[in-house]
Parts: sequence; C-alpha cells; structure tokens
Amino acid sequence: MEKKNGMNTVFFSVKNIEKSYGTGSARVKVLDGVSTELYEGEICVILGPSGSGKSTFLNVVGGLESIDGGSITIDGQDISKLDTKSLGRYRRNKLGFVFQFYNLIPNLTVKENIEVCEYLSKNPLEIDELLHTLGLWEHKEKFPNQLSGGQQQRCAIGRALIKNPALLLCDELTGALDYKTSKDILVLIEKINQTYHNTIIIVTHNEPIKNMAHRVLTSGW
Amino acid sequence: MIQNKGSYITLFVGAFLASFILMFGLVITPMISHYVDSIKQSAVSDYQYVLKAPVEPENPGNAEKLTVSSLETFYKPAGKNIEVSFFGLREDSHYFKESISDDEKGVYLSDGLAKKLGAEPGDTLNFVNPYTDKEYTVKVIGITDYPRALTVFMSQKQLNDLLDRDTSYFNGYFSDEELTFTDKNSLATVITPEELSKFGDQMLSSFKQLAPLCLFAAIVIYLVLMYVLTKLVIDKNALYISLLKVFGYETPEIRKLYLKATTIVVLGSLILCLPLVNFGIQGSFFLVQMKLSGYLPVYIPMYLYAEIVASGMASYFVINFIHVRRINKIELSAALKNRE
Repeated sequence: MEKKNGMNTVFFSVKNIEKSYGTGSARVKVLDGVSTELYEGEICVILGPSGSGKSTFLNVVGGLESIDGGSITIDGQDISKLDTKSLGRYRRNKLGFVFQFYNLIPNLTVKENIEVCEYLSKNPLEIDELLHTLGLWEHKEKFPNQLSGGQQQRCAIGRALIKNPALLLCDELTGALDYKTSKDILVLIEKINQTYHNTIIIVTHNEPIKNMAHRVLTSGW
Repeated sequence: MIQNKGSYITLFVGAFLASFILMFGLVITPMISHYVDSIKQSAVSDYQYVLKAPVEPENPGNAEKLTVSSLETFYKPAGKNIEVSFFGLREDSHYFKESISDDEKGVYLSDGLAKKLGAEPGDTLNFVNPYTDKEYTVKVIGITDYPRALTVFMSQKQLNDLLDRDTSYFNGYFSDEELTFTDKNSLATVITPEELSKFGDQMLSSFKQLAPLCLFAAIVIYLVLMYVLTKLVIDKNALYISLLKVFGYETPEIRKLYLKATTIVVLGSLILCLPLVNFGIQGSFFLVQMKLSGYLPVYIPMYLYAEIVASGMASYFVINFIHVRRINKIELSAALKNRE
C-alpha cells in the first residue's frame, strides 16, 4: 500500500465485506467483497451514485449495521465481532459522525450542541479553540435555526470533532449546501485533517471532492 | 425540558386531577372516623334525652334538665334556611365546659355552626320559628367545640324567656348514666354512645365503596396520562435519542437525559398540586355541605398527602419501566433516515 500524508500505520482495514438487504428473490447484495486499507490521518473519498452502497459502507464501518461476511478492523480492533454494547463504546471512543442534514438539536445553542459530544470524551479538544477553528466563535450562543446551512454543518463537524475521534465519517457532508459553502466546508475539513490528523472517510456523489482526498474509492468497489 | 413544556403542563393538570380524585376517595374514611371521634370526645354527656313532655326519671343521679328547641336561620351560600338546635342549660351546668350565666345575654355556637355561618363572637344572628314565623335575634358570645350538630348553647332561663316559656320549663336531660322513665312514651329521642358508634359505622359503610372506586379511577388516570405524555416526549425526541446512540451514548445516559427531567416534573407536579388538591377538597365539601343540614369538618391527615405522592410516583415508575424499553428499541437508523 502506498504511503500517504506522512503516516505509515494502517489504521483502517476492511476485508471482503458483504452486506445484503431483503430475503429470497428480493435479496439485494449491496456490498460484495469490498476490501481496502487506510493509513492513519488519510482522507478517503468514496464516490458513487445513489444506491451504490456507499452509505451502507459508512454504516457498517460506523458499527450502525452488521455485515454478513468479512471483517472490519479499525485501530487493531475487529469491530465485526463486537456486540451491541461494545459497538456503542467503539462509536463513543473512536468515531465522529457528520450527516448531510446536520441533525443538530434545535433547542440547544451551537456551543451546547458541541458539548453533547464533549461529554463522551475523556480527552476532548478545547471547545473555544475548536469554535475559532470552525469560524463559529461569534455564533456560539445562537440556535440552529439562527444559522445558515454552512454554519449548521460547521457546528455538526464541531460536534463530531470535539471528542477528537480517530475516525471521522462524513455522509454527503456538502449535499445540502451551495457550491461556495461546500468549498468552504471542504477547506475546513482539510484544515482539520492537518490540525488534528484524524482519518476521514467522506461519502459523496460529488466528484470534484476527490481532489482533496489521499485515496479515492468508487462504488463498484 | 423546555421543548417539552406543553406536555409537562398537561402532566401537571392531569396529576392534579388524578390526585384530587384519589384524595377524594381516600379522605372520606379518615374524615368520618375523625368526625365520629370528635363527636364522641366533645359529647356534652353520654346520654341525651329529648322529651315529649316534662317528666322526671326514676334515677335522676347527676342528670341535668335542659330546654331543647329547633329554630331556623338563613344560610346565604345555599340561599335557604337551615335548622339549628338550641340547648338551654342551667347556669352551673357541669356538662358544658363554657361558663353560662343567666345574667349575661348571649349564646355559644357549636364550631360547626360558626364555620358554616362564618359567625364570630360579637356577631348578631337572626333565627326564625318555621311554624310561627316568629323571629329571634341573639348575640354570639363564644364558640364551643361541638362538631356533632349545628347547635346553639345558652342559658336555660334565657332560652325559656326567648321562647316565651315558663322559667321552669324543660324538655330534655343531659346525663352520664342511662336514665329510666316510667312512661317510655314520654321520650322523643334518646342519644346513647352506641348510637354514636352506629352513626359512624353507617356513614362509613355508605362511603366505603367510594374509596376503591376513586383509587381505581385515579390510578387509571395516572397511568394513562403519564404513559401518553412521556411517550409523547420520547416519540418527539426519537430522532435525537437515536442520534445520541449513534454518538455512543449508553441507554442509562439517555434515560437520564430524557426521563430524569420527566421524573422531576412528575414528582414536582405531584407535590405542587397538593395545595390545589387541598383547596379542591375543601371547596367540594363546602359545596356538598350546602345541601346538608349538618357540618362535616374537612379533615385531611398528613399521611394522605404522602400516599398521593407515593401512588403517583409508583404509577410513574411502572410507566418509566415501559419507556426504558421503548428507548432501547429506538433504532440507530432513525438518525440516518430522518431529515430536518
């Protein structure tokens, strides 16, 4: 495997993972023997059209869905063998999630939304510094409905980052944003990667995003 | 907590309603028992005799002659006259604890009558004889503990004067011992200690079916209301509960976040509605007593308040248990499928 981003530790490894939905003749195989590896601190972009299985890939890597076969090893731990409780602990300790539609808690301020995940970490990032990095310092007391889409997504990224996760999973993170805001968000993601060295997987159907990636996977796998 | 305030306000109203019904059911037995006990404790004498004609007993002992009469006074809240018993006692009566003088004009009201009429010492009250329409005015000089009936106590001499009767007139006896009369037909009414107990038992048996009914109704209201409202809180927050699970929150932590606030609101509602329940019970019995000729003092023992809160919390914890299962069942995928 090629060395990227100045890192040489294999942090993420999936081997022959399989995932199907439905039963009998309605059974659809979404992931069929997918394998890949990522170094620590790499940005990986997974490209593909809707229904190609990229969100399913993110879900199984995130421990939100189980796989039918294969293995997923993250930071030396095979998560495909973990029970529900251990998967919860895995998500708590290792992962950060960013969704296309932000999923911010409407009655909490920007700062409070980020603090929701700060609580989960024994060694969280410094929240004020993170708010500055995200460009949200002036908006920290605002509620989600007082923010633009880009600011809401920044807040969602902050919420995912505050616990300093080793792996950041982003599902169509610019899907609901305009071109300029999307560009700003991607610049932010690069900055975060350089600052905190998180391994980042971005699922998208937006091809230009691949330009920021250390590694690009296309569905069809 | 703020985003669920609508549910919580409804919860408070429901907690009040259920607590009120429960209190209504639970309070009757201790209230009647307390009433009967206080009647027994405050009885002027063990035996009270009302005569059709003035006759002497065979064994007078320490019996005291008295004059008994019934007059009516206007009871404003009900807009009608109520019957009041007048007891005329002798000046040195050892059956009546207040000091009665033939010379001091005025009457003592039983506390029930005073409360019912809202009368105080110094007030002047008007009475009427319903058969002759003759009116009488008396001045209140004191209130005495006598919850059994709506009664006026005064000097026998003054009562006989008031009613234009001979000074030596009497038509009853107070006695701590049972009296024997040669002519039993001369007795109009005899009140004995057994009768008092019987009276209490009768009242209790007429109301005792009400208690389990109220208890059942209240528990049903508690359960249904708490289930619906806490379900509403959880359903409303299903997306965020799912999201918290995705982030790695564990069920006890989520339960703490969502049910702890509800638990505080339930407990707070149950405690805060107690003064309202008290007010409601007092008001209800006031309305009931407008139709009664007597006065039943409202007595709510303190332990009933604790029982109300305990019953409400017990119902809530049953519901809480069900909702913990609901929280467990919320899928992680809810956060991924739902869109703002």
